[in-house]
Amino acid sequence: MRPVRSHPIHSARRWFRDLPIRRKLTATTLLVSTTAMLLTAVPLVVGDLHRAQRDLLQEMRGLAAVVALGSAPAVAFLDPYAATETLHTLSADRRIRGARLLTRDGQVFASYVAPGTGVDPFRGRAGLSGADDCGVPRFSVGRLFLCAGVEVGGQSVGSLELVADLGFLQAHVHRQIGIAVGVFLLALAVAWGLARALGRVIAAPVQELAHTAATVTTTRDYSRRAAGEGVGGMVARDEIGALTTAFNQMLEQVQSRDWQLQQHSERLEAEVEARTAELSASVEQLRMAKSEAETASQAKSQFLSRMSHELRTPMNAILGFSQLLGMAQDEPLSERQKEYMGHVTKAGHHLLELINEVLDLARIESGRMTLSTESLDVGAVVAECLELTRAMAGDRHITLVDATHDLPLTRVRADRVRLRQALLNLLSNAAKYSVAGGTVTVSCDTDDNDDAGDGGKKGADVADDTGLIMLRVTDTGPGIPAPLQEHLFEPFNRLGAEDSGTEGTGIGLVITLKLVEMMRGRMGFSSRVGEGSQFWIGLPRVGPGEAQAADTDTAVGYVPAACKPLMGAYTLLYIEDNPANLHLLQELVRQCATESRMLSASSAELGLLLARSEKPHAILMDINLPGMDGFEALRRLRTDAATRSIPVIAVSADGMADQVQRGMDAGFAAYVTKPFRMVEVLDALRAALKVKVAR
Amino acid sequence: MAQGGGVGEYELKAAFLYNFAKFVEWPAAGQQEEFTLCVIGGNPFGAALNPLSSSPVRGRAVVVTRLSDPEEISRCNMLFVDALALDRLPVILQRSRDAHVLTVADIDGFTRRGGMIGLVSEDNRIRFDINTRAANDAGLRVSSRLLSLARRVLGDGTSGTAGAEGVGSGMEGNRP
Repeated sequence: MRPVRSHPIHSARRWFRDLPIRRKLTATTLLVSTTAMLLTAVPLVVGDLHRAQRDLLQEMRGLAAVVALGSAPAVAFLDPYAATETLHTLSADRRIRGARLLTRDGQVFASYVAPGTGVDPFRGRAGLSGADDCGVPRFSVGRLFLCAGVEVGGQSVGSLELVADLGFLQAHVHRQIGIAVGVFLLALAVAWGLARALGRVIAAPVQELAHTAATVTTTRDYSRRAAGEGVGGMVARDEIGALTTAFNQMLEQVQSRDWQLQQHSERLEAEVEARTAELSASVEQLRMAKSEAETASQAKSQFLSRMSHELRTPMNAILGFSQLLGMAQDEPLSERQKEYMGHVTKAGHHLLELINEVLDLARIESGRMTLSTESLDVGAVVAECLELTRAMAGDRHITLVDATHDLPLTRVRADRVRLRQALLNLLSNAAKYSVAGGTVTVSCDTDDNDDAGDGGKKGADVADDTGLIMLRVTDTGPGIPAPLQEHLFEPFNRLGAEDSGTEGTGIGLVITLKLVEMMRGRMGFSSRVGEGSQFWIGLPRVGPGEAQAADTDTAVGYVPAACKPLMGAYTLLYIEDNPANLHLLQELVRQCATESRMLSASSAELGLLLARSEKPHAILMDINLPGMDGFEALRRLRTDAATRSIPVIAVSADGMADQVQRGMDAGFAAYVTKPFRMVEVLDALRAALKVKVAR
Repeated sequence: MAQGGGVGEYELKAAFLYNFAKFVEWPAAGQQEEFTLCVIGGNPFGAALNPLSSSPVRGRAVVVTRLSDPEEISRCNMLFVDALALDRLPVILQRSRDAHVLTVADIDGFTRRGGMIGLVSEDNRIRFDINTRAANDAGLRVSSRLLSLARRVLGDGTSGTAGAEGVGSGMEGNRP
């Protein structure tokens, strides 16, 4: 198709193309019948016209001949009257509009004009022809011109001219055409009726098909069928019937497929539902298991926290009063008492150590151990640890050698407390298991010249990019036999040392390994029976750019020492429900802060009242109080304008790192864990009061 | 009518003579090869009769003959009687009747005197009277179509023509 849209043939063709099939059939039928009728009627009418014309000519010729004969003597004897009379006989024929007689020389001799003709019909035709040459009949506008010779005895004497009106002929033609048109219209009407009737036979099944197809498409109801035409809905045996049957079969197949698909999808849906139910059930189970595990874990944590608290509180009293006894100036102990007191203190510290180790292991295993790594000077940590171990080593006549001074790169990334703990473990082990008179050497190097492959255990996430600083503790002990070496890191396995009389829990190495791993370091050992053992730990090195300011803290000894007195007259408030602890602190204040006075309250509520009325300079507060706890009490102190600026120091048996952090976050000026050391408490008080004075 | 204007009177009369021959029937016996037109008395036609010789009548060639003696009438078919032969009119008519000759003249009262066709001038037109009895007596039959054109027809028993004859005789004086 060319894109000539305005062309009438194209638009007519498109119009016909878009017609409904029924109207298409009707239009076709009408077109065909019209063509047939026109082809029939036009020759008939034309032929009839021709015949009528011929007949008229014949008649007029005859008439002309008669008149010519009758008028011949008049012409011959030049009698115009007689001639005119003869011509007037033509008035009987109404078709004649006029006539005239001409002599041989062309002169008009007589003429006749029919009444009502008006204009002379011969006007402009004077002297048309001579008598000899009459010419052929001529049809002119609505007129017939005819000529006949006038003869007397075979001799021409003139001519007769005749004009006939063709009006009647035209009327005849019109009548014929009218009849033809009437017949045509009638035939057309009949053809139209027939076409409609017959077209229904053809178009109805097609329409039914189209309707069914459209309905199926819109409603997706594949159970529909195209109905047949005629009686009983039988499908005709023609092409359209075949089409209908095929269409219905197609629908049937589609319906069947659709049904199968639906079945399949339903089955699938059911399966999905079942699987989903199973999945959600198992998810529920998992969730419950997780919840149970969480509950168990929480119970364990709570147990640990409680154990920590419950074990430390009595230890606090034991160690505290032992210290007080040693420090008492007014009632000096005897040397024997001092010796016993020394044993009590030592045993107490050992017990505390054991408790701490067990708790540490439990916390590590439960994942509750948190570290705060920082850049540390290895030399300082080593010196500190050696200092702490020196007393014990001295008891055993073991020489401690510090060989770390050679190395310039001595900063590692580690948790200070935990690194110290790990190193102390190694040193105390070395000291404990060395033969008397032996030597324990601490050396330090980078791992560049040591693959540390023998028995090395490394942390899960070792920082390889910066390299490790290796700390080595070498002893001159009996060494560890090879078969026992693989059990070295098993908890509570002392490798037969249980009977040796050497103190130990058997978990020191385990804790050390775990701590090192948590600090992203490695740990390992090598040992030869009879020569000694070397334990090493590697820790991530700190690059030169990361060097931090040197740590300022100093080593804190366990050994009781005389207190530095707290100068100034202060009012202090201690809120504590445990009478032993209360008594301990009261003694401390009595001995070391002689000018200050201390108030006490056994509950938070009471403490708040006292704080409001007495306006103490500082408050020491237990966290774990009956009723209102320390955090809540602090919050209330802070909301009251009268007590808002009083520094509050937390004193708690809960030494867990997260708990300490929580306390510092809540706004305590300091957090002192029980069993507290006197120095610690005094330092905290001093710091808090100094801050206050400075304000 | 103007046919007398352009054409000479006797030329028209010659044409009339010629035409009369076509509306009259002669007895079948004694037919000759030629149709003989005779003129007796003077010759008023001059050469006007000459063209007639070339156009045949009833398939017969026309021969124009001048007569001086009435005894010669028997060889004529048509005879024009000139006024100069008026004195011998009875003899001429007698001979003509016997010889079946059609007599024509432009003499006043010719038909009343026993002539067959008399030419008259009227309203500047040439007309004619016919005496059917004289023609019948001579064994000639005049066509009814010719009769219908005649001014007067005598001899068929009608008597109302006498008055009209007076008019015709009145015009006779004008003739040269």
